Amino acid sequence: MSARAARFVAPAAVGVAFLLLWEGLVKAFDVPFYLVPSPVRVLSTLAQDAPLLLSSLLVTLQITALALLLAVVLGVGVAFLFVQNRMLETSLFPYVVLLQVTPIVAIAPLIIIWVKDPVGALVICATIVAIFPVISNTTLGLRSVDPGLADLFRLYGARRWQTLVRLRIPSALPYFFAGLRVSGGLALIGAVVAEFVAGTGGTASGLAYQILQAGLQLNIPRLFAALLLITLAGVAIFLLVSLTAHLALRHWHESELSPER
Amino acid sequence: MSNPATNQAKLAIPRAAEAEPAHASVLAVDIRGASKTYPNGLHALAPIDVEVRAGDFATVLGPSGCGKSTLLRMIGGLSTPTAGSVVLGSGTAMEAAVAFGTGGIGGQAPGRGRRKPGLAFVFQNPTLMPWASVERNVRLPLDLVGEADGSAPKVAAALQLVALNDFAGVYPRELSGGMQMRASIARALVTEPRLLLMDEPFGALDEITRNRLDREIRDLWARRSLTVVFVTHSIYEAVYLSTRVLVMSARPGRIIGELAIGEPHPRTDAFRVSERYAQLCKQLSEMLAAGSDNASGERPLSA
Repeated sequence: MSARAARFVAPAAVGVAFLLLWEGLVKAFDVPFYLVPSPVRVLSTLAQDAPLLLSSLLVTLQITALALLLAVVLGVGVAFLFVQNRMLETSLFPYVVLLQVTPIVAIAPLIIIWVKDPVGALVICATIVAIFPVISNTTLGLRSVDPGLADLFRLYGARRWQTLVRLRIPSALPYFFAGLRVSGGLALIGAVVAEFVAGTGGTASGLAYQILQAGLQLNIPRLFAALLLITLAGVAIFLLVSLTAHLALRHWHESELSPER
Repeated sequence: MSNPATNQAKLAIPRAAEAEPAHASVLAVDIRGASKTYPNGLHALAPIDVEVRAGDFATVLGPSGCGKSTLLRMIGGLSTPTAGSVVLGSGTAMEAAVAFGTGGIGGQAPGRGRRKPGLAFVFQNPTLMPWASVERNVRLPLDLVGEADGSAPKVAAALQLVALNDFAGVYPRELSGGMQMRASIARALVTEPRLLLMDEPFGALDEITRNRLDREIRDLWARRSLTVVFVTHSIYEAVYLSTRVLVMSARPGRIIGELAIGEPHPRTDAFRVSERYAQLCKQLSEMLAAGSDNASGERPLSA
C-alpha cells in the first residue's frame, strides 16, 4: 500500500474497528438504547430525524462560518497592527490573552443580554473563542522573516508595504494556516457552547439546542446523532482548512511537500 | 591603505597589465577610520582604512568571527559604523552617527529607503524566497526599485549569465545548493550593479561546485567590468579569485596586510596547481598566522 493510501485507509480502519466493537459490546451486554445506543440505531435515528437535525446543523454551521470569517479578518488585522508597532503589541497583547483565558460560558450571558440579535450574539461569542490562534500565529509569522531576505529588501530600499506584501505575508502563511486549523475547530466549539448558554429555541435553533432537548426527553439516539453531526462538521472544517493550506503552500513549504519530492 | 601596519605587510607584487581595468583610478569604496562596536559591548572592528578601486576584485580574508562580514555589511549600508565613514563612488557618504544611507556608486543621494542600483549583495546563504519561482526571485530587485515594466529581457539575460535559463519556472527547493547560489548571483546582477559585495557565498558548497562557481564569478567580473568585494576565510579561494587580498586579524578585526595577485585573467585550473599559486597561498598563510600571533584573543585561525 502506498503511503498516500495509508493516510486514508489506516484511520478509516481504526474507525470501522471501533464502531464494530461498539456495536458488538452493546449487543453482547444488551445495553438499553436510552443509555448507549448502538451505531446502527444512531444512524437510523439520523436518517429518521434528518430534516430537523440538518436544519439545526445549517444554523450551527452558519454561526461557525461567520465567526471564523470574523476571527480571520479581525485577527489578521490586529496582527498587521502589532507588527507595524511593537509598542501597540506590548500594550494590547495582554488583553488579547485575557480574552482567550476568560471562559466563554462566563461572558456569553452578558453578550446575549447586550446584543439583541440572537445570531449576532452567538457569532460574537464564537469569534471571541476562535480569534486568539489567528492573532498569535499570524503575528509570529509576520515577524519570522528570513533575516537575509529582510536585508535584501532594505538594500533595495523596499517600502513598508512592499516588505509587508512581498515578504512578511508569504513568510507568515504557514503560521497563519496553523492558527486557522485550531481556530476552525474553536469557532465550532464556541458556536455550540454559546448555543447551550443562549438556549435559543424555534426554527433558528442549532445543534446544541437539539442536544439539550434530546437530553431532557431522554432521546439518547437523537442526542448521539446530533453529536455525530457536530463531530463530522468539525472534521469537515479541519479538512477544508487543510485543503486551503495545501493549495497555498504545496509548492514550497515543507509541511505540504511529500517526502520524495 | 594608510595604516602603517598595513604598509609594512604589503607585498609589492606587480599586477599584470591585462588584469588592470581602464577605470582603475576611480575610487569605488573609501573607508576611513570605520569601526564597529555593538550595543552589547562587542568590539567587532578596530578603526579600518580601506580603498577599493573600480575594477578591483578585492577579497577580505580572515579567520571566522574577525569582522569580515561586518565590514562588508557596512559597505553595503546594512550596518552603520560606530565611528569613521564609508564612502561609495562619487562622494556619496555614510558618516558615523548619521542615520544609515548608502547611495549607489552612480552618485545617488543617501538616505533610508532610497534605491541603490549601483550596488548588489550576495549573502552567505542563497536567501531566495521559497514561495517564488527562480524567475520571480531574480526579478525581485527590479520590482522593488520600480522597474518591473519591461524587466523580462533583463531577467532572462541575468539567468542566461548563470546558465539557469532553463530553470526560470522552478521553485528554489528544486535546485541544488550550487544552482540556488547561481540564482542568488543572477538576482544580484539583474540591476546591472557596478559594485558587487559577496559574503562567503560559496562557503557551504562542496569543493567541486565551489571551484566551478569561483571560475564563473571571475568570468562575470571580467565580462561585466564589475568591482567586487568578496569575503572568505579560504586562502585558496582568495588567491584564485582576487586582484587584491586584504588580510584581517582576529577580533577586533583590523587590516593587517594586503597582497596583490597579479596573475592575468583568465585563470585556468592549471593556475590552481602552479608553483606561483602555492607561493601566494603560503604568503597569505604566513600573514594570517602573524595576525593570529599578535591578536590579543589568541584564537586559532580557521583558514
